[in-house]
Amino acid sequence: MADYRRVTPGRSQPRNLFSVGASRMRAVNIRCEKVVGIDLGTTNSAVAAMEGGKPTIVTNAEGSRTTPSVVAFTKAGDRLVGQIAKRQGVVNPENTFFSVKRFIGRRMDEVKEESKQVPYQVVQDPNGNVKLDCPNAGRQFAAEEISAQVLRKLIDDASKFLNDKVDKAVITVPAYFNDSQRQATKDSGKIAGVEVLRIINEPTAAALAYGLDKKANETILVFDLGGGTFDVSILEVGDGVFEVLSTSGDTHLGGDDFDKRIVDLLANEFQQAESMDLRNDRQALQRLTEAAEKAKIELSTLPQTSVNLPFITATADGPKHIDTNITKAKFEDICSDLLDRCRRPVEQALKDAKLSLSEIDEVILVGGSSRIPAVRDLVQSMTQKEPNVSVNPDEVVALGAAVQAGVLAGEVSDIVLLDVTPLSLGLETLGGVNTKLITRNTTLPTSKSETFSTAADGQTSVEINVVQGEREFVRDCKSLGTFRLDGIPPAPRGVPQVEVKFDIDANGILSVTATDKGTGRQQDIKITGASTLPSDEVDAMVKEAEKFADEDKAKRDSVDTKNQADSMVYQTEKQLKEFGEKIPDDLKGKVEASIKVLRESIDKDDVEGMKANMKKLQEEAMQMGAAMYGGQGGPAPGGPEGPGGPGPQGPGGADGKGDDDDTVVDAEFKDAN
Amino acid sequence: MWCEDKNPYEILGLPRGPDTPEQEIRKAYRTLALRQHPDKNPEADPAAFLLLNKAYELLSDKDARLAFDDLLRAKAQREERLSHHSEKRRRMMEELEVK
Repeated sequence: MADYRRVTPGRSQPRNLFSVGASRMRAVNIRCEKVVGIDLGTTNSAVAAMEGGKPTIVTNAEGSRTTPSVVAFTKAGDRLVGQIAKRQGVVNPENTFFSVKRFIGRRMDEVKEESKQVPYQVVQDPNGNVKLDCPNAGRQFAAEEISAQVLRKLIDDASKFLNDKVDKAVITVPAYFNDSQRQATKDSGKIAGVEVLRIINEPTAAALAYGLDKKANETILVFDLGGGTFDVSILEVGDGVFEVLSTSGDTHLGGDDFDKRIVDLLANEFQQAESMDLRNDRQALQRLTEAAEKAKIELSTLPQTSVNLPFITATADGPKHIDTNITKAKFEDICSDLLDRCRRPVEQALKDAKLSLSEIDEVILVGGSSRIPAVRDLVQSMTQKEPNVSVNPDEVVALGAAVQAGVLAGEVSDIVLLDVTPLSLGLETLGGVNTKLITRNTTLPTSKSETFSTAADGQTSVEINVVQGEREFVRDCKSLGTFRLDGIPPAPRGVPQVEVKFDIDANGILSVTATDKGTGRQQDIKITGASTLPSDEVDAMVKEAEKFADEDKAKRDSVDTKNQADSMVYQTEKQLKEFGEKIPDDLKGKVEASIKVLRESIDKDDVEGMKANMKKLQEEAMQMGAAMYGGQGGPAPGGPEGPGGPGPQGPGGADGKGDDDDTVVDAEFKDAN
Repeated sequence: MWCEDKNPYEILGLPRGPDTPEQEIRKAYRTLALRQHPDKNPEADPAAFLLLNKAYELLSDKDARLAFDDLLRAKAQREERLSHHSEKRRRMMEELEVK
């Protein structure tokens, strides 16, 4: 129940109206570090960066253009991210986390249905928020932490690919994400040690990438059916301005749901034949889910596909297999209600944009699930237009994010994105009514003030429940949390006037400030009941992630050193064998002894020892090189540094070469400036 | 929702006021948005962009614009009448002073 009264609809009175134009001509900053655009998807993620004025997809360490958004913890305590994590999901279903985007920034009661569909344990923390239980790690993770692991890998791979430091990113979210989900995504970035310059909407990003080279005015509709979410946005593009007119969507609809239908079909058939529910067997469920996704993808191009899962389970009669066919018609039949759910957001977006279908110039399909022929047919029949297929639905969002990254970094100068808030922002007023302050599809950034007073004599604090959603009653909307104003001077009811200002920034994230109009003092605001992590918890997670990163680095360092030491031993021994007669015996003895010591430290996994012994061996190997050339009558001092020491220089030489490369890059950079 | 003391045509830099064609309003908004959006100009006063949006929102809504144009015309007429009045009054005052 609201314990405050609205006094008057407040107005912010902006001053200095035209103080802007003068500073228009700003110097363009040239920065060394890159800002990347990241499409952090439900099932797959992609990274792009601006290269030579064009957005380009960055391939990951495995050479793929997309990375599965999967994180796994093995029995041995290793953390796996990406394809390698996805691959072992069948044998480690409880510790393999996928589709966590469905849980990010959510309360447990919002995701009852989703939590039943995944083979890992989704639990409720004391605040009612979602946590993911990981038996192998022996702890619970927030969805933010899992997403942070994916982000970390994407960023690490990108900095390797670009050969540049990457610590800033633009991350995309479904347009229909609410404030909590956006905030949680931003927190993920923070935990991953990335500065999130901007959260942008996926369909908007797609439009940016699509419209980058277009000169003419166009009205476009973006139909984005991803792995877990569905968005529709309508934009007007022209003169470098990308103006979002309206946005609609469904955050519980995506490719995963189509997979689930196939899983259910297969499991039901199996249950009828064997009276056994495979969905209760986590490993079988994981295999079914993978087979379903594969079948779905194949049905995009084939009229029929076969599902073959040998040894799916065993009963008293022996092992059981699944061997069946699914036709395209059957698939479309079991998914018909999902297809129907795609209609409403399209209609709503058109209505909100006050446009008719004939006024749409171009329809762009985004997201892997837009490849389903039935989805394409639906879009075509709804819009009476051939959808534009000139963009790659898996990559276009990341490309658009890179364009926005370029805009923010000053690399792209003549483009601006005017996005909107997808959901109305309101307050709970008497009777549980949602009183809307900022209506949906308002251009961002935006702000609105409201003046509050007390409802009782001597009341010193006021609680304001901020809600997001379109419904008339607060119980049907998403509560972003309760903001508590403290320290109001005691006065008769209705006398104190507290102005509360709601700002939605360009990320679509809300911030609230309050001032006592009487004293002009800034009021304290406490937020409770939000489905995002409290800031101290985020800070703790940042520290932990850093610790993880340090451990990883130490581990990698030790593996690298070991490899180096191994190859140095091999190379030096080879040298000794080949040129043994040219090397004086005392030197030979010294080298052999050093090799022995280095071998011992390799066997003991002693990283520091390996490093020290490698250094010693390298010096001796150089003397060896000098002796070899000296024997041929060459100038001895030239030997060690010149192209002389061919073999033993190998591993050490690699480092030296790296340094050389660096200086070359520096020099080029100075020239460019 | 609109602050009456600000004229949206002035905010968008459109001297022709109610006679401005729709195309020109959009063009003006885009030009100013490229300049005033916080992404393009972080030092700019955020209130200016807010005001620009409000002005464009009003002028791009056909019904709202018609109503506002009516209001502008009525205001202009009233001002004209008032200036007429004060002219008369001034003359009366002058006559009084002479006496």
